[in-house]
Amino acid sequence: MIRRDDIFRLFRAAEIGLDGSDLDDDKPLAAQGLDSLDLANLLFQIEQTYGLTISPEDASRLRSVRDMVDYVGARK
Amino acid sequence: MTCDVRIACIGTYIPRARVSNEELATRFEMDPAFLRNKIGIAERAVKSSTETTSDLCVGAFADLQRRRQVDFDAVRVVCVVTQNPDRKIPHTAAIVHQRLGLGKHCLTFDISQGCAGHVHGVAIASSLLQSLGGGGAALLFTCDPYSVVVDPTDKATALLFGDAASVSYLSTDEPGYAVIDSDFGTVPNTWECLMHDGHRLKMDGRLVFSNAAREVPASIQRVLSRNELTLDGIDQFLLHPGSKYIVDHLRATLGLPPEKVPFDIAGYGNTVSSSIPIMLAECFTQQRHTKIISSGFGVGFSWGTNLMEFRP
Repeated sequence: MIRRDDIFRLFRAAEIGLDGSDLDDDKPLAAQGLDSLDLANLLFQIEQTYGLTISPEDASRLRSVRDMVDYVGARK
Repeated sequence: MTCDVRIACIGTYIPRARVSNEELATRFEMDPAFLRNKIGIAERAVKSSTETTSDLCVGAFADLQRRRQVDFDAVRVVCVVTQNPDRKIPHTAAIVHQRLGLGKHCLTFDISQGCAGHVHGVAIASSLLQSLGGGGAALLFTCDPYSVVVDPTDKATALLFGDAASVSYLSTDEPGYAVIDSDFGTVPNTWECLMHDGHRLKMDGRLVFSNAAREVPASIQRVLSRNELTLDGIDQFLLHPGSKYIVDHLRATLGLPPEKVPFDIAGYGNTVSSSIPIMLAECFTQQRHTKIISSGFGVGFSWGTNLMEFRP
């Protein structure tokens, strides 16, 4: 079981300077201040932490924290 | 691979003309802080529309001749690392060979590689020169003027690349940087991460980033381990400056101090296969680095890492 806090821990690993408590889980992270490079880094941290390979098609759908929680939960 | 061939000198050519990224970033509605702190490229070097890859190589050779004398009779190998040749046929090395006025007994070939091209080229040319026997020299050129393949409206690539060329003079009997060990690889099923689709360059920046972040630190650690070295034992790490973000990320992953990892492309851009030799040329100027690791990565997705040592 993966939770939103697990994703926010990866924010810190990726040195993304956003506070999880301020974020809307359902809103695209790009609309909440995350740039494309930080997003690439976050997806890399997910791959490394959970032993996944995220395809380009899947990556294009992983926009919000909830998307990521659901995606990892479904693949684990 | 222990090799008696050394890189004795490097000549470079960066076109004078610059295009500022500021206006383009505004058009892309990009935060200036993102451009400055994460891309790290303020302006790009751009060749004139009439300049060819061989023109830029000849420019790099002219710089080499300003730095040292070149014995034309000693040159037995000419290699051009490029994916933007003058023509499909012949290989650009043959055109450069003719333009320099080199002799008949000279092996010429191109290497189709990108940002890891200099690392590949140095290892190949060093091995080749050694296996030919009888000493002599090799000229290893790099040149990939991406201004001819980048779509200026593509946000993913338009702000990154600059045009440049380099030539490394490899010699069997002079002081310089010798390749001690190398590590190369290509990640299966990734060639589409950076490709020319027949019209323009296309890049999946996330895939390039994730492959680099996974493979480059591991490649460097493999080379160090094989040679019973630690990160502290290396004086300078020449990591391909794809962007400031990737260099900062790799530096942080490896735990390296900023002074060991140069990033100095703000004034001319990511020059693909020429980025590492341009940094290595600076090492010759400073003359204070004995052991150097160069690591290039990109198109393929391929990577290459060379451990080099200065030998008097």
